[in-house]
Amino acid sequence: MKLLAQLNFEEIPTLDDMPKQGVLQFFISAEDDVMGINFDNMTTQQNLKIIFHPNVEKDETLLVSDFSYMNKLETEYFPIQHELALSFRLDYEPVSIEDYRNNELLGDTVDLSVFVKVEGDEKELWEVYCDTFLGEGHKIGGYPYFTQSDPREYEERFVDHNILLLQIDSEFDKDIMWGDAGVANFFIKRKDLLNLNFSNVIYNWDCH
Amino acid sequence: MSSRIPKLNLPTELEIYRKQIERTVKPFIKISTSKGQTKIFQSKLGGLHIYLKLWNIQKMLIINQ
Repeated sequence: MKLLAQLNFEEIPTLDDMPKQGVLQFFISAEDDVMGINFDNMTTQQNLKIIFHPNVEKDETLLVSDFSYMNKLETEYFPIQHELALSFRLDYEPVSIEDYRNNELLGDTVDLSVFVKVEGDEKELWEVYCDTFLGEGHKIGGYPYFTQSDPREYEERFVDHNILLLQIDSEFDKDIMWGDAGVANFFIKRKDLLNLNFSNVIYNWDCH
Repeated sequence: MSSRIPKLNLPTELEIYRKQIERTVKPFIKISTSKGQTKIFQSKLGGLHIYLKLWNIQKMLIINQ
């Protein structure tokens, strides 16, 4: 397996329910042509592994530094071509257009099917909402982006996977690509997150 | 919304539903990427991961799959 993402929570602004410290690692099978996803069971960790380390060891003499064994891997399918440093900023957003709870959260008084005039063109209001609140980008928390549809909509057992643990979007100029300009998301139950139990996380990616 | 949350920018066409849209607002962490090497214990996409020499052989086998 190969590292997809590593989050050191000491570097990340505090968000309710998220760990305040520790390192969370996401690995996927480096040579898998579907990038570690299991379409039939999105919480299985057969070609995906999520590991949490509550304490961070910074003494590099205690850490493995020889990763030459990884050079043998064929990584043509791997979605991230080279190492990228991360920076974090607290922000706010309303429910995204493709979150399956969109209608429920906005409520019955909101009708996005009405037609409106935008710069002379007639559009349905949901198109304006979609242009504004797509939910795209790399993020922790908030609302997800999908190029297809929310996998939680059709599985009753996913009803409590309400927290977006991590979203990794495609970013062409940084050589991150999920299929054809797709996006990956990881969802966790709040109870599992509070218990630092990362064994029942939904891993989804989709693309155009 | 709490006063510490900045006012939501909305297109004119969605203003009629401002109250309902604002009710769904929640915080998140926006992540930006930059090319370059990181220390082994820092946050990153791709690259090399923190890995203690003392961890057991079983974990090593999982990672090396």
